[in-house]
Amino acid sequence: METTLEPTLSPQFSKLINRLNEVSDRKQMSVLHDHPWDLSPEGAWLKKRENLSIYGTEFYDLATEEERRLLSVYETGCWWHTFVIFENLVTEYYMKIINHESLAPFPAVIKYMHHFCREEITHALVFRKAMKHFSIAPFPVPDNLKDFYKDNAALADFPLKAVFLTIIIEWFAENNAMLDCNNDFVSPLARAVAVEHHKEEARHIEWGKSMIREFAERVPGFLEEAQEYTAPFMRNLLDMSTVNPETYARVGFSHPAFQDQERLFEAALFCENRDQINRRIMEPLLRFFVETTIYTPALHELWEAARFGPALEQVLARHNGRPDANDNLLDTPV
Amino acid sequence: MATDISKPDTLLHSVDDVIASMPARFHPENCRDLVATYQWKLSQPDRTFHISIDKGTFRIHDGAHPDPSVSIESSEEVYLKLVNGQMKDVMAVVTGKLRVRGSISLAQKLNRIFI
Ligand SMILES: [Fe+2]
Ligand SMILES: [Fe+2]
Repeated sequence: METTLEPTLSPQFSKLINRLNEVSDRKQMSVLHDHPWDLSPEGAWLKKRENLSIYGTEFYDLATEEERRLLSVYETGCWWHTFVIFENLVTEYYMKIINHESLAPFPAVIKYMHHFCREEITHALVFRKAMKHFSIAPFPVPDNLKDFYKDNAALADFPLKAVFLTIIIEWFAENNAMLDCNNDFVSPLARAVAVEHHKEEARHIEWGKSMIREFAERVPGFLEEAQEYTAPFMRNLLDMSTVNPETYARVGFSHPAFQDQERLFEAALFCENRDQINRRIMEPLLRFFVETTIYTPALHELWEAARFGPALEQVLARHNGRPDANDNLLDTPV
Repeated sequence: MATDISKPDTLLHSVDDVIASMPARFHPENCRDLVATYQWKLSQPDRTFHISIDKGTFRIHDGAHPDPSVSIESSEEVYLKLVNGQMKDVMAVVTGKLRVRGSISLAQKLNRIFI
């Protein structure tokens, strides 16, 4: 999709950019100083037990306490590694956009994109450092996720769709990370990794949402396409990030019931606990999709098919499509 | 590919059965504006075929298409389970038994074209 932007920004977008630039000018994360790196990795839980993929299923009862703890380490490590990959990709795409020079008439935007890239590079270094700290080897990206991203985020000079998908991935990953760690039980280092990241990522999400709003208004065809692929895209992401053969294999559960992979995956994906977590993760995103008409009632069937029907009805009933000031879980207690 | 494929009335036991059942399961009203090629690349045993959808009509062809809009890869066993409603497609995807290449919005339309 080749894109030309009119040389004006909406007043809201300009205001947001200026505010974001100010905050990034003031303070940015440090790889060295913002986390308690001196804490021992021994015996640490990296997410709360209620958010383990097997919590609320028969498999939770069949796992030993140490296996549950290891699952908390590997499921979080897998997310950290996903952040490393996607945040590096975001940097690559944004640098590409900066170099493309179609944004040259907007120096404040370029300035923020530089801040953004600097922050994402630091984040990826911190996630990688945290993985090393807890001796978590990198996870291979599952073939399905790789294909899925590659085939659906085709790269043009101005990689709009890739930017959109990456923003969505990061937003939902961020909500997930915040929900996983908001508990005293979780290692203070793992919590600091999530919370410090969130301070800067919340700005990226605000920026990302504004970008998407601008795309939807100005780029012909963007909205129509997004209306078709967003629901199945989100569903695939949620499911693929909930269960991962590699994390289960690394824990090496001793109970023979874990050999039945299909039963294990089905139990984890379709349990009530996961449904509740997914609803909390998705609620801010669904509200945003309603507000921007990326969700349109005419294509409700697609959202039904992607199993977002009940969650959407809840959002529609509660908010009636109005944008909400607190829609990136900024106030989630940690 | 996020929905369950609904279960046909009688079990389909072979890929030929599935192909033979397609005219009866085809819903032209769900692909009136669609032009797309869906390819199945099955293994154990190997078999590749593709279907061209052209605005409410379809044609089945043996062999590979040079540039399908969507390519679906699995073993024959998994494919038959999916078609017969004995396995959810999400389960096949997350366990790596089903690989779907190409446009995700076109892929998920398939569930409404052949029901
Ligand atoms: Fe990010
Ligand atoms: Fe980040």
